[in-house]
Amino acid sequence: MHKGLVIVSFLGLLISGYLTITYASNTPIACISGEGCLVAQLSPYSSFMGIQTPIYGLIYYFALGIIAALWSEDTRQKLQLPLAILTGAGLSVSILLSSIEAFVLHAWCSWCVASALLTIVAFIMFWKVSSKHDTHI
Amino acid sequence: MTLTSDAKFIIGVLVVTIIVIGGGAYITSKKTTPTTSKTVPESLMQNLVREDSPTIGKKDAKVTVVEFGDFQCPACGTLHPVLKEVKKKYADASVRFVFRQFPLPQHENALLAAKASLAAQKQEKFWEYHDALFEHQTNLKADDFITYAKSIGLDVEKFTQDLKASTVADAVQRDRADGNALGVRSTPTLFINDIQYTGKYSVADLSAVIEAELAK
Repeated sequence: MHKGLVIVSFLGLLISGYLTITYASNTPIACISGEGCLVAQLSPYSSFMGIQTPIYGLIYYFALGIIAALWSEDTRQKLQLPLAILTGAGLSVSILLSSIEAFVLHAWCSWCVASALLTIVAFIMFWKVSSKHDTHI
Repeated sequence: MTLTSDAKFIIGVLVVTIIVIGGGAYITSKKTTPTTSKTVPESLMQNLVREDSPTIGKKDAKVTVVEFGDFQCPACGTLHPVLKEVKKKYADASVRFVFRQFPLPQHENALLAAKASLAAQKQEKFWEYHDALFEHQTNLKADDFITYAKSIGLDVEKFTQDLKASTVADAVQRDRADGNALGVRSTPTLFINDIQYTGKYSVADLSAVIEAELAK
């Protein structure tokens, strides 16, 4: 088991879980600071292909948790590629969404920022485990 | 692949977490009243638009879009370019756009901005000033209001006099009172005819509601 990634996964599930429930109930999100959460929630970027953005977050953090739970010396070889794809995709999507917040919406949603930071931490953790070993990716 | 007891436990907790979140989202979505059913009662319709409210479009338009807004609210700033596009789209249609003042107390210069926009209205340049304020939303200090007044060609002396007039302050208070009566709790709050719009800030989503009202 990779404890660090398990923690990231649960923190991420808390954030995306809160956002999923708030989106579903159609009530304004309580922002940790500032007022950018409502801007993000009501913007056209709050859903993609008809699915609300936090649901993609739930899928990402759930998959991350499964890989983290299965992670061991024996499974490392098999799981390294899925973890690379998952953390790489998570980081790319976070960069894209943060750019939209910065350059299109001109507003920062604190929950989205917290989630973006978690994807960075997850990617760094993947980077550390892969750089310690010969990965053959 | 053999699962360790730790892995089984973590996966179990993950699955339960997802089920709880999914269940929570399902239950709250079922409890939520559909957004389109939130309408303004007939008795409060006169609170939506007042005789002197800043308006674009004909008075007898089939559809009236009313925004209760605050020039310093970031969400209003996000809605601004979208509404501008919608105004352009329906310029020749039977759609009227109205702006009502709802400056929020947490925004330091919102009240002054609201008054300044109404002072500009006295020189028939409300919408030009309204656009200038939203387009410079992060620069709304006392001096900036004069700068924007000059930039759209207002008579600055008259503008500063009107800004201090009690009629302007009263109009802001009346708009706030109307907003409170209509249940406005945050900005921007949009009404399309008697429907309180709670959808996304996109031209497509707003147009869908406007089109439906035009088709009635």
